[in-house]
Amino acid sequence: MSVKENISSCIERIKRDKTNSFIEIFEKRALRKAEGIDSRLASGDRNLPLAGEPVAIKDNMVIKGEAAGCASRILEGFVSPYDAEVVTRLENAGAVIVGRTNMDEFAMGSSTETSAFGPTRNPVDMERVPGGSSGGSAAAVASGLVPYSLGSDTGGSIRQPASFCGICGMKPTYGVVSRYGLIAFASSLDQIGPFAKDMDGIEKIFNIIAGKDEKDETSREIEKLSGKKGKLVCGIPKEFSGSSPEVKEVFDKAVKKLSRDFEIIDVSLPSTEYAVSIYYIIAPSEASSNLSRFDGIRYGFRAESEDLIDGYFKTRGQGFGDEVKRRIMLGAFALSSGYYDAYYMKALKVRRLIKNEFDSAFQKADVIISPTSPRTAFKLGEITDPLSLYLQDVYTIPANMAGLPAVSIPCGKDPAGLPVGFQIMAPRARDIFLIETAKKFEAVFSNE
Amino acid sequence: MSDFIVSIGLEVHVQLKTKTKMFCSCAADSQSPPNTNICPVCTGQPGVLPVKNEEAVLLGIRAGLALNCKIEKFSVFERKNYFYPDLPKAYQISQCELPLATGGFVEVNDRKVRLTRAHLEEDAGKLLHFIGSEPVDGSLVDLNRCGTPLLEIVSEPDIDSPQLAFDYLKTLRRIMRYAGVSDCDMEEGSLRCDCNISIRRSEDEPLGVKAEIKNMNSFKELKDASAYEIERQKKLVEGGGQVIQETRLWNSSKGKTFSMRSKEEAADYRYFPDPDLKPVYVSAGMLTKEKEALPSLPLEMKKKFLSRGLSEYQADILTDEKVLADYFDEVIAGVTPDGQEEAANIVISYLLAEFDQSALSLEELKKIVPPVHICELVKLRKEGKINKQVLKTIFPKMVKDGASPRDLAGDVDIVSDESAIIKLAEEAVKANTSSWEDYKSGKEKASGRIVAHVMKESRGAADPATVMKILKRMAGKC
Ligand SMILES: [Zn+2]
Repeated sequence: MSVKENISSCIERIKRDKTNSFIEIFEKRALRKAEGIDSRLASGDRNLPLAGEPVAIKDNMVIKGEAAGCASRILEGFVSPYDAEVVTRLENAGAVIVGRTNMDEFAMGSSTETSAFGPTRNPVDMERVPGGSSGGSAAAVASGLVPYSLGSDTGGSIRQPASFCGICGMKPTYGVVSRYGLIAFASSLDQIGPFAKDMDGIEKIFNIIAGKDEKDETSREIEKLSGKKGKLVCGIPKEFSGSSPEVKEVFDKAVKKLSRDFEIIDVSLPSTEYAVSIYYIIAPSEASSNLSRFDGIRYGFRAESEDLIDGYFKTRGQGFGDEVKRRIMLGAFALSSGYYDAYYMKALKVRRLIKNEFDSAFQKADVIISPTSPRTAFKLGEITDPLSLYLQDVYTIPANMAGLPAVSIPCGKDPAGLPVGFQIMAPRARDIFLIETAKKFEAVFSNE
Repeated sequence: MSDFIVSIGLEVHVQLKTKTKMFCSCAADSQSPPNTNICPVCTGQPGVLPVKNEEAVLLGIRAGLALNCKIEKFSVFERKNYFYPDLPKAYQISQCELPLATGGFVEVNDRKVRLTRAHLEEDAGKLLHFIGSEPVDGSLVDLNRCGTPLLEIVSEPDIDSPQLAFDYLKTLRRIMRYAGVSDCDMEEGSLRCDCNISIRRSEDEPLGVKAEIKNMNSFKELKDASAYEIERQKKLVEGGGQVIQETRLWNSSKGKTFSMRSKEEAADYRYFPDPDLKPVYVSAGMLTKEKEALPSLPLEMKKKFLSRGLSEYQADILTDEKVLADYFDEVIAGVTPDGQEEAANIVISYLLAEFDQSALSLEELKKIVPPVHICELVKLRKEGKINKQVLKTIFPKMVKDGASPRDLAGDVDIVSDESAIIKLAEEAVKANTSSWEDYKSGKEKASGRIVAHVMKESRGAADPATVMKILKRMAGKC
């Protein structure tokens, strides 16, 4: 089968999708690119590690000549004049980007319900959310529409949906994947990463997208060293204890299985207690500034208005959804003069503490493990209170705060048949080691 | 009227002379047709990231060194958040808490104006207003300038008069140009200045409430606006009023400042460190490199010229521009100590006079009249081979075709040859026998006619003093 035929049938599958995973299929472009790959293959090009592989990207990564919108009305009509670095790297490796996937508006949410394009459903149970904010990318892989997709993870937005949908998702070390072309939510936390059904798939995509990019000052190389000799030590933070009984049971069983081959110890990360609180200072603060450029002047949605100031109010008032506006206001407040020291500065200090605590925990443990989310996928509309939604990310946010690489892999199902995700965190820049370890754990969990 | 102490502090923005913009690879050229030097980064497209321009950091370091600042090993870019159509990201990347350079001073007229800081930032775009006109009824934005690198230099309120403000800005411009960090052209906007002004009755009082003046577009406007503002504040206080903290705009056609916004209306810029950029680390290597790149500064050159016997006036003129100072520096290297004042005279009275008339730049003029030609002139003068008249005659020729003064002096044949003048004098005596008799009999004035004859025949090239000397000899008077 040619790449073009393969992509064509992939697109047909996506068209029949009932989960609302995709916002747009790049049909023309994908078929054109597929033809290009076919002729490169025909001419003997062997330098295409992802030759013809369909990949979906979250709606916050840009492709030249295509729309990108963060599932927001405010970017209505925006067509990117340039390619994101991850897009360039994937396409250079022969991958074909088939479309952009649904998400919480500007990646602000844990359920993909704040999208301006309607919620995405969880293919495991259509009444339930796929998690978020990268819910579309997770659901697209879980329902077999595409083998791989990219998401972005600011506080758990890759790992939590991977957990809810029963697939693998990885948030690399901060900076290991270039953010150039990722529409920013919270710049010091955002990180692009892959979804796949298994860790082999994660590794395949990771190897292509990782590495220093001159266009992103905060990007870096990964450390190529792999694991250590001897028995691997897994630390469980005793503070990560707020799981539902169902999640706790599945997780404990998984740990028990691991304990046959690996050493399990307790570690302590006392300051992670504040991780969610400071996340909701740091992320909205950065977002309030990052999202200021959406003013209706150069691109995207522009409301009819009387004058300049009126235009700002109306464009942003009508263009952003409630959750986005809530966070912009939170952030603008936290940064305002007179409050900056009490909120933003203090949050940065706590962030430093969390980092240090992880560093000392990694003196004792090679990896730190926990459930990915304190609960399994909830029903659409079930959690409406923002604060309860914010608490969904309690286990995932700490890795973003410390810039650590982390994955979520499936480790079993609860009595209702809903997947439970298993989170593994490793020291900074030890992404290769993390992937190797996750593969070992994956083998243990799937052996039963 | 009771006396007040005036305190003026200046915030000066200079555009750094880099090839590319501060955070993207667009050409830093804001004079091109609108929106031709733009890219996704400097137009604030979604998803773009800034990358520091190392050249801008280096120029900032050099400027800081030239201003006697402490260069900070570690400085941080922050975001200054505000909405305006010429600011695509709705934040300006600047430095707030931790600037590149701190402290420092500028020596102006034997005074020291202390500096608070100098920091790097990016410029905004430009708005072009066409409200009510065809075919565009509204405002257009040109983003060529957006993202070009600036250095903001903030002074302490050490300036106590509009004249000193004026002189400070001139001196600052001179230093920046010498250091090669900026063109500092106020008309083209590569030098911009805001000033803070306050008054108080005595040194014992704390500084008064300041008003910030914006929109001054020339050195003269800075002087006029600050003079106006000082008078306004004095009258206000003497009338029992109080100065309020506000931003005022200078209106040059009305010659007044007008309130733009009060402190209460001032924007809260919500500064915070830009998470997209790493801090600026200044290495020992970078410092050394810029110390080496820093040329002799105007004050140093002036002191050198003064030590060579030039007057204050001459030294000031010759150090106004680096290219001129360098030129003169080459000249004095090639003349004997007793010829240096003469050299200064020639450069100021002849070269600069020609320069004022000509369309050439000093650099271009230097190629035509190399410093060595001035040295030759000085030598010819010292040797008495040419006089002022000859100098006047041949200098335009030197400028016209780059000929050397020695060759030109040869063309004007009589000049160096005393026997030629004797010959001319003898002819003049024959042609004016009655004057010659009068002269010989003691009427000194009678020599005028004969000298005039010689001058005429020599086409002005003869030295009148030499002619007189010869006539005296011929008349047996010496
Ligand atoms: Zn640019």
